[in-house]
Amino acid sequence: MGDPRLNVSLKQLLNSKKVVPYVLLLPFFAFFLVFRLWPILWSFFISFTEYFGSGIKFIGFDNYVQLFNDRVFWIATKNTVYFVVVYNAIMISLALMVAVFLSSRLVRIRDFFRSVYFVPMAMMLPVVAITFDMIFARNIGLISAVYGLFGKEFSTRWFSDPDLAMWAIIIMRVWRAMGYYCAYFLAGLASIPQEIYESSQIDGAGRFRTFFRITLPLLKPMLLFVVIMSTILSFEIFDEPWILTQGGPANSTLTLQIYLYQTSFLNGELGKGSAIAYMMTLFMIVFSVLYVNQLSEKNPRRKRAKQQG
Amino acid sequence: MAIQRSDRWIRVALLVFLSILAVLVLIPFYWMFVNSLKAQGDFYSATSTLFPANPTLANYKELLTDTHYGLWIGNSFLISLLVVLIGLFICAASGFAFAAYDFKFRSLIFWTVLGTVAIPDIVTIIPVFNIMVKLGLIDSYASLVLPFAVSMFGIFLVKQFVETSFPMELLESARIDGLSEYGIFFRVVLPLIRPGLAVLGIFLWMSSWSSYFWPLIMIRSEVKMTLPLGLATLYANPWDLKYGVLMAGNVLATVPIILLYLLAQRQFIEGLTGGAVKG
Repeated sequence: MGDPRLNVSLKQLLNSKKVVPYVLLLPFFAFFLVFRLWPILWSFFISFTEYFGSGIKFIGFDNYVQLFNDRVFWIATKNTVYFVVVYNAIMISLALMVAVFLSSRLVRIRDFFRSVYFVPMAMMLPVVAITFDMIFARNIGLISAVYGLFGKEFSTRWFSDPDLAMWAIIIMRVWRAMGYYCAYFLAGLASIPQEIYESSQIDGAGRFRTFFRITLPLLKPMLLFVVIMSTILSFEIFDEPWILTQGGPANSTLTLQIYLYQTSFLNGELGKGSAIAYMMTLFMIVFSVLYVNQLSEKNPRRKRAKQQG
Repeated sequence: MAIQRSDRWIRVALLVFLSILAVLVLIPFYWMFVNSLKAQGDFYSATSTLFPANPTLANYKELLTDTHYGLWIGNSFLISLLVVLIGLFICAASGFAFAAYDFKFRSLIFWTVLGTVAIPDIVTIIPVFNIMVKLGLIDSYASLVLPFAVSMFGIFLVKQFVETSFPMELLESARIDGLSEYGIFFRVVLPLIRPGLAVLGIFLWMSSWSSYFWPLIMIRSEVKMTLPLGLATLYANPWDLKYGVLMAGNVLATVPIILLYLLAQRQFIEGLTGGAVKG
């Protein structure tokens, strides 16, 4: 019938400060439920099932037990951990060192170098992979060309050698990410007030002393952030090893994400794939906790508290 | 006096090191560019050369006529644009809602969302793939836009931005002026958070543009491929890999981003580091 009082109320309701936030959040919430929350729960559930796309069979922990006994899974884990640890150690040390050099009062064209070092981020990972393939390649590569200048022949088969393939990937990742994390460290270093350096200089501390006793501890929060972020991101490495070697040669570049892809999307084993995904999540959480513990153990206040308690 | 002299040596050493590093950083770009100008015959010789013997643009021509490269760029462009537009709108609306209003389930919703941030995306791939299959959206633009239209991180960014740099008195005076809450959002808030949105926009754009894994899973036909996927497909050709054409493809994929970087460096760096590094 159209009671005018009711109509006015609906409009007022939708505009009231109590309801507006829910309306504004509605699209987000719809997406969140469909693409985040439900998938997280559903994939946890099917990790306990045998599921090939049609017909679900509940099998309890069988997938996880299977993974535990799966030699290839542990190879993938070993490769991924090896990559994450080695790559991050090299890359973060380099980024930190370069940031410190750039922040030194002796270097004035800091912004120029920072801009240059950041440029590799403009290259997408597949492009990086393909370009570096052409750098490492035997007949058509850059290294080969340089060797040719000296009349020598370049015969290292970077991507056919199980011991070298992962290193090629580490090198290209370090190349790409160094400038990126260097920018983080530069921001962190810039937030340290100049007075601290001046007073330490008055106290007669040399450059190395100043760095290790003053700069590094003050930089710890940023360092922790970078280490954790880079570790978690690099754990999911897929593009380069898949495009270049498909996890080979001899599974030497097989990462956990590649193994998940092969299991779920090439072999159709969706249940087992979900189990792999959750194992990866577990590893990543363990890693992060380890790092946080390691880096905060060096906090003297905590040590003293431990000694007393 | 002694201090000054050793200082000068250190400065020289530092500059040399940093310069060599800069050259090393730029070499792959040079190599990519130079190889795009080499004729196919150059790649059949036993040794490699640092410069092309007879530089040619033939590879670029072949790239655009003999492959679906044009389609791939178009697809990437359209998909990234949709992700940015939808993403910005949803992140702005949601971030604003969290920041400016106090409502009953605010904490609950916020902390639930925050809780799931710790869980990586890999866990959601299989179910989302299932959804796309069931909806018949495999091999469609929707499959690459919908899952990425919402960025938790983007919502936090907007929320931070509004909480720290938005004057709440403005909201009050707008209300007094008779604007509805939605009117306030569209006419007052959105224009003022534009710099934050520009940064978020770059972040969303780059994530979508360079995405390889999700398109690999969702896209089946070559004409629907995005740029990274297309390039990888060109590369995976086992029979007659045209390196020059491939490198031309790489160059064309990278140049626009470098241009973006040069034109909007501060926003680019801020966007990629999630606002952590300001210009």
